[in-house]
Amino acid sequence: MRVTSTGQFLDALATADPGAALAVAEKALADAGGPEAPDAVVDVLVHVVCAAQHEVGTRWLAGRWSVAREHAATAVSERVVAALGDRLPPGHRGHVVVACADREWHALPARVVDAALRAGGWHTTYLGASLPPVQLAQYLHDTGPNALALSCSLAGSLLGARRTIEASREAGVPVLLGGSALDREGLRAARLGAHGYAPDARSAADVVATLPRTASPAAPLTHPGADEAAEIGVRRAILAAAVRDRVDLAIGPGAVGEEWLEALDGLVPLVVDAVAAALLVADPTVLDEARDWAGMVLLHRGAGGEELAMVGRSLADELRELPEAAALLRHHWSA
Amino acid sequence: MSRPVLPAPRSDVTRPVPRPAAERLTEHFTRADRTRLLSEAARGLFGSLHVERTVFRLLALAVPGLADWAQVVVRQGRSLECTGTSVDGIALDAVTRAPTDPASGLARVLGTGRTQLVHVADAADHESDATLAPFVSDPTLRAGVAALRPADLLALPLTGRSTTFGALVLARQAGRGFDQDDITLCEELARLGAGAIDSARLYAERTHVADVLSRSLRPPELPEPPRTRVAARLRTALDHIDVGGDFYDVHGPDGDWTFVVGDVCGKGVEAAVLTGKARQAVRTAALVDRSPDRVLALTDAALSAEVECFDEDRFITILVGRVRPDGESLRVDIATAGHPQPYIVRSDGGVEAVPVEGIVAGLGEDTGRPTAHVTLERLDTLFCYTDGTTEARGSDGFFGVDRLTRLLSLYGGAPPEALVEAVDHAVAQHLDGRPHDDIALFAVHRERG
Repeated sequence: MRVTSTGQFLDALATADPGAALAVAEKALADAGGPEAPDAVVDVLVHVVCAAQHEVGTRWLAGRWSVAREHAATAVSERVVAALGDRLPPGHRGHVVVACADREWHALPARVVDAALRAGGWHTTYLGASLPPVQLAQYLHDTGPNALALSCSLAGSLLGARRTIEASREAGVPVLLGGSALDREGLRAARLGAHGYAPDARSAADVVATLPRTASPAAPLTHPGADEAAEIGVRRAILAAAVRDRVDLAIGPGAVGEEWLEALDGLVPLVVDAVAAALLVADPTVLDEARDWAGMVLLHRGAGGEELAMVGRSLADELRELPEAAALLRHHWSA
Repeated sequence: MSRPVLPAPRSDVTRPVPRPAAERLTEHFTRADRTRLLSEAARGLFGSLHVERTVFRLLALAVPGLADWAQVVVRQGRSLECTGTSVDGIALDAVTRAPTDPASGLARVLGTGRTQLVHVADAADHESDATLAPFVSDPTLRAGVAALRPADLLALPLTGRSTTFGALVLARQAGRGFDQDDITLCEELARLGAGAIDSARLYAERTHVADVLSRSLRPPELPEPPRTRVAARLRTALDHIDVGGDFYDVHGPDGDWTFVVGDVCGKGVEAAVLTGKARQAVRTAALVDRSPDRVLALTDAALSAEVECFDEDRFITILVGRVRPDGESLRVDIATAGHPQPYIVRSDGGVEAVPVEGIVAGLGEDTGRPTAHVTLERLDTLFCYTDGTTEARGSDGFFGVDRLTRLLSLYGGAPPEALVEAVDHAVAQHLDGRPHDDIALFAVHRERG
């Protein structure tokens, strides 16, 4: 039944039809126990909406769907999540602010967590995509919530997440982290100074309950990569442009298709981010994941391993003054 | 300095008895420990501007570092807000009535602003409870101290703006009593805590005032008229979430509703105040006559009356749209006062600028503003924006109209949320963290069906 619903939901996303998508979700919700059962709402969000949305991501990655089409589908999913979430009764366990880190534009996971927390009895405020730390900090000072739940989907959001965690802890508000930019063991979350890590939306409500009542300021990050991560963070755009120039120069004009040049435009800044993030959380697997992902993106757009290696070499050249970053790229990109 | 200690009507209320050195907690506090503890406290307490968060922070600094149990009491009118630690370390909250006898317990600390030290005997009897109750009025919190008996209780004033507004009450199990050095240290912590809590109280009062004042400036809930989907986004330049010089507003019945997108030239709170006036002026004008050109003429007249506010450097641009169903389509009448032209994104990705112009509002130079009539067919979207969007400055200049229209053309037939999100995202990427003006985006979409 779930599989059927997911397929139907995906069909509705493919035509960006909010009415059809909502109807599928409503039907699945009725089958799962009805809108009165908070667990059923989370069930539908996870097994229908998120499952279909995962396929949307795969179709974009495979080059079958354009970015715009993916956005349109995601907007439909977000509307469904918001509509189903609104059915949940107001929570009374305490106030949790749900937000995306700075530069994190994937709002859907945060919305799902928001709904899951409400289903778990928490009163939540959802603040939306890519929130600058200063605005988030202001909100935390004004409202003094029990916790901040911060969603990180892309490695690049980890730098912003760290600044937000610092601001939140400064304000005495404990932080829960979640999202695909983190590892399943929660080591990255711990290194960033979060108090808790939720591996999925469903567990978030229980993890929030285990957070301390208060937070103390985060200890500064002093490991060797921390300074380099900050350095790369401020030079992000310059580095990405320089890498693009080097790659353009190396491949020469007209040698490759427009499609993968466009993909490269979007991809290079994310690779730069991934190097910074790997250094920040002292976890080279962040870069491994970015390499695998970038490889898939390029592969599906007519480029091969050589082009991927070229991106890594160009970035390593640009970063030769930074020993940790250079070593990281040498060991985790050349393979 | 004489320290007021509770009069000792019974033998269980005494000054602390000197104990063998080996038993004393103070033995563990070197000068370096004290410095570390107080600097940690200062560092930890100054960050938060929220009263409850700061109280939690103070409790966490006191237990287990300085005491076995702690309670923070803040006077709130006639009641006391008590927050304390429990056995498992989780803070408990309670609100109790302010004590009536001014000479005893917390009332005395609050009245005199001076520290008190009492001993609670090792007996779960009426007398022991009578010692405790004036300091710990909430029964659940009291059970926490009672569990420690025999114990010493140190009640420290929290004083700010020359008023003792609360108290920090610490308890140590007997054998770990408070000696003079400990009391001095605890008083230091209480002073730091009082400063932080009082700042947070002051901030809360001001925030409340600002919050009430800014309520009318916030973006409204978006309407959901039949077969119509509206999406909007506001990114403010100010270091705050939701007040600024750009605005959007919606009003009127589902079958004939009005939307407004505007931009007050200028920044900060002053611009936000004008924004509020402009929004109100438009709402009032729309009650008289819903045609966009008439709404603008009336708004202009109303705003021009605010002579001291407007001049060549301070004006306002407004776009007014009136939306009505027209058979299967949506008919939109649009007039503008100096606002950037909106675009129609057709379902096939065609992008058309809506040719509509008019002089800015607020200068009192209304020469009449023509109305454009556009029709939104199934899956068409009307997209309006403020100039903070196209004038967002990145490494290669303004974001610009070309980039905007190219992006819009990719979103033919897409839900308006996707379109608004895509523009917001693209502008943010273009800015790459650079400062920007307010950005308001507003889209009206004719849904399928």
